[in-house]
Amino acid sequence: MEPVLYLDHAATTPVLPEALEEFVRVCRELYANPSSLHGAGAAAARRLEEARAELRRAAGAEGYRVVWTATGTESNHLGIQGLARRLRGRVRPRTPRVLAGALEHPAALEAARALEAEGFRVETVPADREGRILPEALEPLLDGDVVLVAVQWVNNELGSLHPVAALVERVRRRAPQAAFHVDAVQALGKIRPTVASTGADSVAVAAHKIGGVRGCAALFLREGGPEPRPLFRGGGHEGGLRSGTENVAGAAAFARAARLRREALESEPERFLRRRRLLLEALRRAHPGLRVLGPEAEDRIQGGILSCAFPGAPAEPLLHHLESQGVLVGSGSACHRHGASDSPVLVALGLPRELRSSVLRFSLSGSETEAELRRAGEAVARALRELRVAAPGGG
Amino acid sequence: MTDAETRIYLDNQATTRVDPRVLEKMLPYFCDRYGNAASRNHAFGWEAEKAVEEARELVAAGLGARAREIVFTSGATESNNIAILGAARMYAEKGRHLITCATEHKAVLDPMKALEHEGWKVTVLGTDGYGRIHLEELREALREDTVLVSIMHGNNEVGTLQPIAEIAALCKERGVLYHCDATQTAGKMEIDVEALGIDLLSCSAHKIYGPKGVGALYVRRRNPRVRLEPILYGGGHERGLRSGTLNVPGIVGFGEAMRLCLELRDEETPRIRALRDRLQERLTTELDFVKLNGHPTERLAGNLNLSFAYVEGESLLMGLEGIAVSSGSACTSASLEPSHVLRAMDVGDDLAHSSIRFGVGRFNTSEEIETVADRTIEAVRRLREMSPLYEMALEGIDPRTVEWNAHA
Repeated sequence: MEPVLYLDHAATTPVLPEALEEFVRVCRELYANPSSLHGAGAAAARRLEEARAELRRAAGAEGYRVVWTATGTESNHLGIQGLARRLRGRVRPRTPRVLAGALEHPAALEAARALEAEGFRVETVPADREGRILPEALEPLLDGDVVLVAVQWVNNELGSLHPVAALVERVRRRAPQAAFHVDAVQALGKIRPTVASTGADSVAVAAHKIGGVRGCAALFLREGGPEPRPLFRGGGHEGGLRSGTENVAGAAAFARAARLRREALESEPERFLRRRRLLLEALRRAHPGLRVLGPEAEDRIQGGILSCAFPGAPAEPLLHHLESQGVLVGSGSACHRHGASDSPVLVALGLPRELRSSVLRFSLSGSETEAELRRAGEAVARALRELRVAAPGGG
Repeated sequence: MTDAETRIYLDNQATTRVDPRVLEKMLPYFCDRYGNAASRNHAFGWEAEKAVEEARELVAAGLGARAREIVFTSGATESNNIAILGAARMYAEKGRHLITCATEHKAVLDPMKALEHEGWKVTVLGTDGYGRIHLEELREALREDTVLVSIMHGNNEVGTLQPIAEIAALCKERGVLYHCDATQTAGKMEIDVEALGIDLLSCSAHKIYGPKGVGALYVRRRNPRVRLEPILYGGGHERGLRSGTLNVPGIVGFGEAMRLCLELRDEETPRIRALRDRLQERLTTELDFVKLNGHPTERLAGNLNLSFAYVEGESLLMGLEGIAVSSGSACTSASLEPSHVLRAMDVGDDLAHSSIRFGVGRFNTSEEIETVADRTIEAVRRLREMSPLYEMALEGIDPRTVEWNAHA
C-alpha cells in the first residue's frame, strides 16, 4: 500500500525533526524550572529567552514582546478578552463594543461572545463574497465606544487573507481608543509578511500548525501597547500575563520550527502557491465542475489552503473514500464537530446548502512533490467514480 | 555550572526530569500519529483520540476517579484557576464566600485575590507551626453562603500534608464544594477522590516525571455533579470545560508518568523517604542551629526544608554551586521576600531567609545525598565562620535579644 498522504496541515502538522530534536534535548538536559535560582534553573531560563528571541525573529515581530501560552485558543482569549477587559474603562460609562470578523475561528469568536455576559456589546464585521473582511466593511462600525477589533489574518477554512494592516490603520484613525487583535494561527510560517507589518496590538500564533509541538503557543504584544488582563493567575510568570511553569521544551521546539518555516519561505517564496496551483489542476482533472471557495486572486490567499466544493459529491463519503486510498484531507475546520454543512464560514459566504455539504479542505505542508499532488487528484477521481458522481464537463 | 560530576538535581518539588520511559512513550505521537484529536474525520484523528482516552484512564486511575471526570489542561496553575474561578462564577447565586489557607500555592491564592476584587469574600485560614490548618477554624469559617473550600494536599515548600480526609468530610457535611491542589502528591501518594469525597482536584505532569505544559483537573460528576464556568471557549474540547487543541503527546506522557508512578510507588516512596531521612539526619546532627520547617511526620516523602540559622539562604545556594536546591518556592523565588508559607507558619523572617528546600526524587542516588550533605555542611560551616551572630549564639547569647549600641 502507498504511504499515507496527509493533506490536513491546517488542522495540525507533524513535528519537524529538528523541532522534535530540540524538544527532546531540552527534556533531557534543561529540565529544571526556569523560575528556580540555581544554575540548572538559570540554564532553563536562558533557553526559554533564546526561544523567545528566535520566535520573535522568525515572525518578524520587532517591537513586540512574546508571551508564551499553551494553545492558540488561549492566545486568542488572552488577546481578545484580556485587552477588552483592560480597555473597557476608556469608554465608561458607555457600553463597550467589541467587533469581531464574521469568519473568525470558534476560539476567537467564542472568546469575544463570552464578553457579552460581562456587559460588552459584541458585533461582527461582515465579510465580502470572497471571504475577506475589507476596510470598507469595518469603517462604518467604528466609533468612540469600540474597545477591541479582532480579525484573523488568514481564514482557516478558505485560506482567504484579510488585509489586516489596512484594517488596523482604519481603526487607528476612526477608533484610536480601541485595540486590534489578530489571530495569525494560519498565517505564521505560511505567508511572508511580518507580524510587525500588521501594526496590531496583539497577534496569536500556535506551534502545532507549523511543525512545533502541541501544548505551546504564543501571543505577540506590541511594545507600548495596552497590556491584557491575565486569564489566570498564580506565580506571575510571563510578566504576570500568564502564570504557570513555562513549557521550556515546547517553546524551544516552537521557535525552532518557526525559524525553519521562515527560512523555507525565504528560499522559496512561492512554495505554497505553486503547490496549490498543481493541486488545483489535478483536482480539476478529477472534477472539472469543482468550485474553489474563497478568493481567486493569489495575492488574496494563503497558498497552503485550498477549499473546494465538489457539486454532487457529499463530503463525508468522499472523505472516507479518500482515506481508504491513504489520502487524508479535512472537511471544514477540525476544531468544531459539526458537519461541514453547517460551517458558519460557508454560510457566511452565501454558499447554497447542497454545495456546503460537498466541501473538502486540502491543506499543505509546503513540501509535497508533484507526484503526491497528482496522486491526490487521482484519488479524488477514483472516489468520485465509486460514488458514481457524474463529473460534469465544466470550464 | 561546574563540571558534570558535581551536577546534582535535588529540586524535585519545583519540577522533575522527564522519565526516559515517558519520553519514549510520547515519541510516536509527535510524528507518526499526529491527528488533531478533535478531527474525527480521519484515521490519524481516531488514533490520537484513542491515545488521549487511554491516558485519561491512567490519570483517573491514579486519583480513584472515572475517566470522564478528568479534564486535561496546560498545568496545575490552569487547573487551579478553572476550579476556583469556574466554581465561584458558576455558583455565584448560592453565595460569594470562599475559604482557603495562607500556605497555599500562588496558583490558588492569586485567583482567590482576583475574585476578592470582583466582590467575593475570602477567608484565609492560618496554620499551626507545622503548616497544618486547625479543623475547628475551618468548621467555624464555613458559612451558609460558602461556595468553595480550596486547601492543598502536600505543601510545595515544606511538604506538610493537610488532613484532606477530614476537610473533605467537613465540606460534605456542610454541602460545600472542596477543591484540593494535589500537585505535589498526585501519583506519589494514594488518593481516592471517591472515598475521600473530594469534588475538584488539580495535578500536573511535570511534578511526576512527565512533560511540562500538561496538567489535569478532576471534576466530580455525581454526588454532587460539579459544574464549572470555563475560562477558555471555542471548539468545545474536554466537554466544553477547556477548549483548545489537545496536547496529544503531552497527555500521552502524563498518562505514562502516572502509570509509572503507581507501578513504582511501593518501592519508590520508601527509597526516597530513606534518602531524605539520611540527608536530614546528617544535616541536623553534624550541624547545630538547624530547624526543620514543616511537619516532622505528616509530610511529603521527598521534601526536606531546613533553616540554617545565621546563614543567608541565597549565600548558601551560591555556595552549593552545581547542586540544584531552592530557597523558598521555585515559583516565587525570583523575589527576595521571605516565603509566604514560612511566614504563615510563623517561622520568623531570619529563619525564613536561611531556609533551603531539598527535593529528593526518583533519579537521586545515595552517593548524591552524601555529596549534598558533605557540601552543605562544609558551606554552612564556612559561612558561619564569618558570622558574628553565630559566634554569639555559640556563647549562649540569643542575638535577637541583644541591644545593639553605637559602639558595638
